[in-house]
Amino acid sequence: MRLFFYYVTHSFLNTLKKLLKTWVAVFLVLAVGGAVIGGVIGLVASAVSKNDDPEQNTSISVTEEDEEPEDDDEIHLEFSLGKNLSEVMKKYGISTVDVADLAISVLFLIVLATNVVNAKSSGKIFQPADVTMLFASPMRPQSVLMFRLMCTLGSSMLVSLFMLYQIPNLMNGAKFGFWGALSCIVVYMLILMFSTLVQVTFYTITSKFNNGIELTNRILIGVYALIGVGFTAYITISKKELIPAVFGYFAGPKTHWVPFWGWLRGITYYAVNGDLKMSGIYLGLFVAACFLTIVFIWKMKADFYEDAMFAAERKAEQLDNAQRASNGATVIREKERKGSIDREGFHFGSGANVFFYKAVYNRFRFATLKIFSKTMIVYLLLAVTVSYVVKTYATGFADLFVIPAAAMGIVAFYRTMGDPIREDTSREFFLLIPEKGYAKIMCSLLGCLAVTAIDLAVPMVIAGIMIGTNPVMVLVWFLFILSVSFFATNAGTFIALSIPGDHAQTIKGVIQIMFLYFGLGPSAAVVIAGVLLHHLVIAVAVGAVMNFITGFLLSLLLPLFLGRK
Amino acid sequence: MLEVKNVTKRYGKNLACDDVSFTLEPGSLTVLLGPNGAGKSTIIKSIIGFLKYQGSITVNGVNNKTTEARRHLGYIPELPSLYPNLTVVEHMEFIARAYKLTNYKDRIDMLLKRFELDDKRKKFGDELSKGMQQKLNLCIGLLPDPDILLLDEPMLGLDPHAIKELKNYIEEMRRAGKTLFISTHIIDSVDMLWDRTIIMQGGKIKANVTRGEIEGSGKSLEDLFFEVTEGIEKESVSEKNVAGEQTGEAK
Repeated sequence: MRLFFYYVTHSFLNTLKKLLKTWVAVFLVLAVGGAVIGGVIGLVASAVSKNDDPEQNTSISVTEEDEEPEDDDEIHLEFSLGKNLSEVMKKYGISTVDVADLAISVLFLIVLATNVVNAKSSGKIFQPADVTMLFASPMRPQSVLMFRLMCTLGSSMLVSLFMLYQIPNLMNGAKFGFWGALSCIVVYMLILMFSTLVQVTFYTITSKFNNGIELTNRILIGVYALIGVGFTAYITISKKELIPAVFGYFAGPKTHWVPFWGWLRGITYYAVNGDLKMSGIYLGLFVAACFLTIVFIWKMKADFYEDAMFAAERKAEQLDNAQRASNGATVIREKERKGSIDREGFHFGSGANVFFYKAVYNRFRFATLKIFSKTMIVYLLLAVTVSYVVKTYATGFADLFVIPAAAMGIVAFYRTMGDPIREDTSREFFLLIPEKGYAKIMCSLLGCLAVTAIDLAVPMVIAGIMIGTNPVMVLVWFLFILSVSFFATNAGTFIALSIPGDHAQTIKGVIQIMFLYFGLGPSAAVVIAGVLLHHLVIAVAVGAVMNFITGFLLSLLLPLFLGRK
Repeated sequence: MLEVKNVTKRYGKNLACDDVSFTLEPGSLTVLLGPNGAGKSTIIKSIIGFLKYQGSITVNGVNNKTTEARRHLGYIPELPSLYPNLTVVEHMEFIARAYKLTNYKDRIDMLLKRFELDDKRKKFGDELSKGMQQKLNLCIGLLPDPDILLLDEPMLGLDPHAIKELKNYIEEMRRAGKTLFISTHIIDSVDMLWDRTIIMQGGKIKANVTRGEIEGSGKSLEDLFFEVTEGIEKESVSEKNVAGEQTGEAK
């Protein structure tokens, strides 16, 4: 334990020290300063309101009562999709807590399956330095595993803290109370913790048996097949429609007793319904079960060093490759490329715009039949599947196109995480080419944007045709997604260039998410306003312009950091 | 004493070590030689307990994978791996805590001074050059002062001063009765130090010879290596030595 605390405290403080040598220091000072000023204002406001006379308080309460009809008016302005959705929910007797229950249920089942399947690669939990320093030490293998498990769990918890920003959203959007909203965040954190625990538990079990991986995979397939058979039996016997059957089977309060799966759902279900005692009991049960799982891992005498050593060596190799790439070296591919790939067709651009043409040329060069890139295939599948499902099951809804557009937007957004134009900015020749730094960065960014546009265009049109929406609506959503991608790419590049080194990837990720959250927030607010005021097309177009402008302003800062990487 | 008995290790269908047996006597310095892919790193990683294998490896009669055995074993890997967010001195402190050492501060100071890392105490793992990382790697391996030390290519990436210092240190450890097992390709670097050499090829031990056995013949360690691995002047190498020692040590 002493070793764990020594490592954790020193690693954390050193990471902060490194970050404080960058602009993050200013960011933190502003954040802390803002919090202090906000706190002071809050205290002053509270003190002033306490000093007010009782009559005034009465008048305030009267005013609040008077305002209630205005709230009703706002409800009338509700987006037709939301309105129809609430009608469907009313029709089947589904409440928001049922939706939360189902979401947790499905998330749990996905997390469980993916982590059991990925258990074989859990050796990657170890740092390369763990092998040479801790594996060789007189520590028990379980102690080493526990040390790294605790570090990973702590890191997951730290990263998930940023989700606390979602509490106001849950309170306003889903109309949850504070404890209900908080319980959703707690459940999210517990799922993160659970996913690591599941992976390590199955990793420990499988390393004990010769054919452990095949055995657990078979058991997993069996369990999920049973769930599927159970659902089929349930829907047949109960003769329910699909939607109420899904809620009844996967989010029924009667199954809250089921260990882990039910307990997690119980935490939110009872917190939202105001029964904090029951919520606390389920939380206690879940935490206790996690603790017992840790004890189980601790007691399991498994020999996983060999597998973990090779996993750590592969990780070290990947890190080394990434390091080499960031220093401008070329990383050798493990898999040879296809012979059919065009190898001598690049004859475009001059000066800085070669970076633009390179991105676009490579997009076509590596795509199947020079059309279907992997990203485009994902967009196509999403467009077709989501549009079909929406069209089939959400009859009577207005503005359906928003759903496939949002699905594709989320994928486009996540593709920009990290450092999207690292391939260019990491090369020594990027600096050496005698062009203005800004021109080179902008060409590279536009190349990235053009590739997104090429991948996205056809799926957007297909979704538009399937749903039968207005072409202008398709166009503005297309531009909006591109604008989000443009801003997010700028933000990712800014963080990558301005915080040097490969350290603190987790904290960099959190900062990037905060950047995106606050940077894209205004345009999201405009879109929501458009939804409420029934002027969605204009609002989405304005939102797109806003994102392009903020992205452009951010891009002006990029050349300042280019040479420092 | 470290005993390796009939150790066989396979990676899938690839036989990396085939029925390897030898013994390391206390206070001796054994050099492990062999061409690339001979199985040197595999046998070292098996001894330190990283790999699963058939056969047995014991440290003073205790299985090498037990905590008790690990207290006596030390390991300096070929490639340094450091934590990017710990400084030089924090790495040393971390290891001292992992090994539950007491009164280690002076020893940390001594090692950092000897390997010229004293002025790099506050540098992070990812701020050190490759050579500096290798020096820290050495200091980390030497800090617990183990009875048996396994060194995998310890001279790799070191500057001349560090090589000289390492050789001096090895000599001091030998005089202090420590058992040393060094795997290397740089035969010259250990020519003056060794007591016994084990030459591996194709996963098997091809020779297990003491310095005394070849001293009279006027051969160097390098001559012996090429005789065994490439068959040059093979007739001058005692077949009895080569085969006899392998089975002798197995007993």
